[in-house]
Amino acid sequence: MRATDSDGDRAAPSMRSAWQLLADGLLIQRLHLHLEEWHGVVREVEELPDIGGVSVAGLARPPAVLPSPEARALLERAGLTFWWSLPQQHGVDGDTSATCLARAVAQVRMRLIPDGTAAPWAEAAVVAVEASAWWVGFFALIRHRGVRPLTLEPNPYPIQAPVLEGAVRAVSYGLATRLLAAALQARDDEPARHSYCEAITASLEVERGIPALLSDLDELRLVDLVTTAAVWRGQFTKYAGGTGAGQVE
Amino acid sequence: MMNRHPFIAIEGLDGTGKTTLRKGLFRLWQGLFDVAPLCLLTTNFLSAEHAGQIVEGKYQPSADNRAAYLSAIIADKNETLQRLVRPQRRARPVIADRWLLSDLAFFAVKHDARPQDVYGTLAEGLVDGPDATLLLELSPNDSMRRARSRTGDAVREGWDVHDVQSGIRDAHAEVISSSGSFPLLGTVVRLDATGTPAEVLHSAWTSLEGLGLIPGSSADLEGES
Repeated sequence: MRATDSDGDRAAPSMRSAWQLLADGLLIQRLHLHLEEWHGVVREVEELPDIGGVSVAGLARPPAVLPSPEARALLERAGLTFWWSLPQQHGVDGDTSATCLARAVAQVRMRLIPDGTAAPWAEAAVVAVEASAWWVGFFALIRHRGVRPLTLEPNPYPIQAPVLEGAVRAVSYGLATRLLAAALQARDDEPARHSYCEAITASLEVERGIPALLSDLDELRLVDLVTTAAVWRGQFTKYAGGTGAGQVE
Repeated sequence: MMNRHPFIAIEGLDGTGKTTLRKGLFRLWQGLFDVAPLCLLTTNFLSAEHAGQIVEGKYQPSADNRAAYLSAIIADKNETLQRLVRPQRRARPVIADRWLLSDLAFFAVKHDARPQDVYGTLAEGLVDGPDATLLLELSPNDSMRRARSRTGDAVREGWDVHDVQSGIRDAHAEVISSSGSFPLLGTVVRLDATGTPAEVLHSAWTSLEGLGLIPGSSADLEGES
């Protein structure tokens, strides 16, 4: 079923789906714009000047799980091939110790798939969640070179690792919601329904903390990542005013 | 294929999770069916000339303003139906956070009026209503405890007290016992609100699917996309 503008008419895809495409494209653009700079940080920096308590190499490591063909098909259906394949393509192997973000990933995974089922939808959801941590890590590593979203001025103030964990949770639940919706549209499945309900209600809980999270992140690229990936009332505010791209990408 | 999207009301004592269920259904519809429901309230103040009567009748209920209040909420509901619900149902579901059942309970508690009698007056002025009323059920003690634990959500003095909440629950029970006598409520679906928000959302989803108010199997979804 699709929304229609009038009785019986097949309408164009929703504005929301168009905004999602723009947001995805912005992420892809930013990854490629800052890839060289990011590699420089990964090679040369041991401790970040603006984020305490994180391992640079740990954030750069690609997600451990590679999706099976069935899971890839579901990720493709959700428009999320880029979400898992770019981290696999550009992630840098190194430090294998667990990061603070891995803890957030484990929490999300346990909530969404408590029985650890290996069904393709569950596997695809895990891949989406693990990739969420990588994307947060990617922009976190270059946060000190970014700007504040409102003033577009550099932000000299540091943050702590728990802020990034909050970002991972918000983004992960948003991506899981998107993936599970696509999976259910492909094939109805009772366990997937339960997981989808958990993803939705977890997003509702996370939503309360998003304004504070954005205030703590206070950097344009991280803020855009969270605001457009997390499912919340302000998800596409960036686009609702008829704009999308900022002056600083 | 649904030619007209559903109109659903969510009811329950304060603290039973109405807002969470409304938001959950909103996101479920949006995510699965690419259509965002319109959410509205039991009174929406679309009839400006009745707004004063609604405020007075709700916050200063008395025998003197009872009839005017009832007329005002009928007017407001008709405006809401005419200007919002019916037009929007052509394109999207409509979800009301409280609708008619709350009015029946209010008159039972504040005016000691039987739901059946109040319903009779309402039914004279309203021609349609929701397809279903989802009633979140929780004991008054538990619902009040939940309501008090909410942040940034004021507890209503003189309303969120045990006697009043118990009276509301009694009114709900009276309606449930003969729900066929209240057709403007649509199908009344009782939902156990003691579970987690996800469990309640899942129950609501299953119930709405059973009523044919939400598309069912993935085959339906594929066929309609």
